[in-house]
Amino acid sequence: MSENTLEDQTAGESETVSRLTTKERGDRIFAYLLNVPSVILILALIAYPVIVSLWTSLHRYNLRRPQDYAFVGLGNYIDVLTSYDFWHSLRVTLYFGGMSVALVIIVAISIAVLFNEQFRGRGLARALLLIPWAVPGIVNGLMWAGLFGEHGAFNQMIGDSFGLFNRLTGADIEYLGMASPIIALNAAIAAHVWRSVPFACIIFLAALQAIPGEQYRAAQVDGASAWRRFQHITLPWLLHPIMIVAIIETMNAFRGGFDIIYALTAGGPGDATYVIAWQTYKEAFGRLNFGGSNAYSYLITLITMGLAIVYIRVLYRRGTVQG
Amino acid sequence: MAGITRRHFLKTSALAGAGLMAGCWRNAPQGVIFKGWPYEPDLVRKNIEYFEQQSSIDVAYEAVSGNYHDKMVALFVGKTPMDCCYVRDDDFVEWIEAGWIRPYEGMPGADEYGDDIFDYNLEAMSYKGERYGLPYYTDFMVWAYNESMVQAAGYEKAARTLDELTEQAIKVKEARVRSPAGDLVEYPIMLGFRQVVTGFFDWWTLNYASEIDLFDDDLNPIFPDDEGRRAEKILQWIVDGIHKHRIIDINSLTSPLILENFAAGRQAFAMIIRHNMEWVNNRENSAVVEADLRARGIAESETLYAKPLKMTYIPSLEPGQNGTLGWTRMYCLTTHCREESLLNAWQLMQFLGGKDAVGDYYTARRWYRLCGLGFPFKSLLDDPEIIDQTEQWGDIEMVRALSAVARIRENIRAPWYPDFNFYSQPEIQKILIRQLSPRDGLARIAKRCQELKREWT
Repeated sequence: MSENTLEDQTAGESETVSRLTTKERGDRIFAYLLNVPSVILILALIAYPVIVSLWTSLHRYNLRRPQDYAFVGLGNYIDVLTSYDFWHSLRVTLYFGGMSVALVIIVAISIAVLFNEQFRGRGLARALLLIPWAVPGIVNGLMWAGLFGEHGAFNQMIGDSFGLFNRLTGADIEYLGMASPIIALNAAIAAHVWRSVPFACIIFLAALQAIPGEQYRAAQVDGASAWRRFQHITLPWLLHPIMIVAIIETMNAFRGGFDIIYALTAGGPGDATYVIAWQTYKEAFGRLNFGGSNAYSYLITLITMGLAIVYIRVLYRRGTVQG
Repeated sequence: MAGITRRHFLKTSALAGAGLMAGCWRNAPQGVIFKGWPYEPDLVRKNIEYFEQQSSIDVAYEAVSGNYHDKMVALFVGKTPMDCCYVRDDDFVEWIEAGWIRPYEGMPGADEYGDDIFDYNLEAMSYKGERYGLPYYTDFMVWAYNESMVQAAGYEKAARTLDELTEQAIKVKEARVRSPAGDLVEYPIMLGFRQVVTGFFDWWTLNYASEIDLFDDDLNPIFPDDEGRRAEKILQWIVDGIHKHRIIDINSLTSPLILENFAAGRQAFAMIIRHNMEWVNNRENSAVVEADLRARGIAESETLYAKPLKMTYIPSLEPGQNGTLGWTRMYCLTTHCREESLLNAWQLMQFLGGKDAVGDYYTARRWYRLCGLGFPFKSLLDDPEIIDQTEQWGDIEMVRALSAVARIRENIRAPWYPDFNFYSQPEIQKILIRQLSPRDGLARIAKRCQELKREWT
């Protein structure tokens, strides 16, 4: 649409508005009035906290010293960015997020491709797939704490494997279970992936069903193997959904590791599972440092936004197969 | 728009809004507003009902579910009406500094309780010379051991020093004793080093049992260069117990099931809260007790308790050293307490944390009778009913002895204690999994304490 056309249309609309009768104008105002409660709610529940949070992040505000409230500009951001805690938790989060996003995408695509095929009980299998998604985060964390806990099945399995290895090789490797930083962090990732896969699967399944069947038939006629069909037909069609899942899962990993860490590891052993959301929680409710914790929150937002932009730039142009 | 006129819509909206407001108004609590964490809320309600009968004062009680500290912070910041609440000594100074709780100095009968309360409890409920709390419950850590397992290892008595304990635990391990369910006791000792908001009680307890001061009077850390580097030795003992002798279960860093494991006979030794002796020696909870009573042919209808799990002094570095960690949970008046409710709230607080209208420690006695919760009143330790009850599952002489040597965490009175708590727990865990040496770990904690002290001065 050219600029002139747009201007013409706008001018036409203005004339129409001026020609409205009193009743019609009243109806329009009434329609706006009907929206006022929702707008007020949105402003009160979303805009206000966001602005207050930003404002708080620019202040020295520790609830234990309420009288010491003062504007410090970017002081909290500088404190956070120069602290060991931030960079350590960012490293842990990047590992947690990177592994989670990669695993969610791989596992979800595999399941989606499988569930896209015709087989008996497919409807039931698809319904069951949603169960992990419906489980609250804390419950999920507790369930995995059971699995990896001292009497848990996974813990026993890994412990027995260590024992067998020691017996066979004469080595004396000590099995630390969830007291091992590597096991604890990866257990948290497993719990997060388990819960996140169903949502990603739904997105991928929807995308798979949109792929025209004749493309596969043509490829089969040309003698393309299953892997090449996946590589050259399925995957290009999935690039936009992958981008969406990657963005959402990255945000989840940055924000949402909290409930799992809370129930599964409480940040330990040591600070091995201090993801940034956990660090923010500790800053807010452990130290009651609301200025600093709000700065943490905004930094998480900025990092997530930055990663989302990277995903879009890398994947958006490639995924043009759907037009 | 069909079927609905503007006038009708506005009228309905106004009515709905008015109804909503009326609903809110009706839900505003009446009487003294009292909040606490949800431990046995029905029992609390019964206590309050008795108070209401005695005093004719209405109480609106709410058990705050979930993370008590975090929820209360939100309630205080949101200026939620509240007259009186539970306070942990861990949060006590934080809440005073934040201006959320108030001293009770000057209230009628305020001086009545000092003489009969143990010093460590009084200390825990006071700040800068003013008293704020009356006790909800108090307790301390004890060393618990499975008598038959210790005997199976060839010992008559439980170890008094940490070296002796190492020997005993190795012997228990070698004796290949099993729990009543047949589980091999692979790691005879379980400690509590899981990261939790209430802190590493076992670390403090082991230090205090060896009569180690961790801070001086100005709350400067004395470790890691304390006399004889004893704080370091304590941590080294735990590290060796986990990795060298393999007598301490590594799940000590992660498990919330210390009591359950000990009661099931999967461990021979554990450091537990005194009132949990009642729990572990109750046949309803403990396979060890059940097996013991069955072996003696005692039916379920005859008794719930036996004492195969004993309590004793905490093992120390040197013989003859005594000490343990004690703590206090209390009732406090909030600064949100409305003037018209103040005297009623204070009366409620006295009933719950002191004496009732007829001068009896009604609530403390009831808590002890029904749940075994500890009390801070010296006179109750001579009460025949309390003695009889304690002897069913514990040892009144040991309770008296440990009550007398219990200490509060030295820096719990510092406004920076929560920061210390959150910093020290991961650091101590790093020591226990050998990411840091005990000396380096303690040095880092000490450095952080100095930084926090400067920050808060």
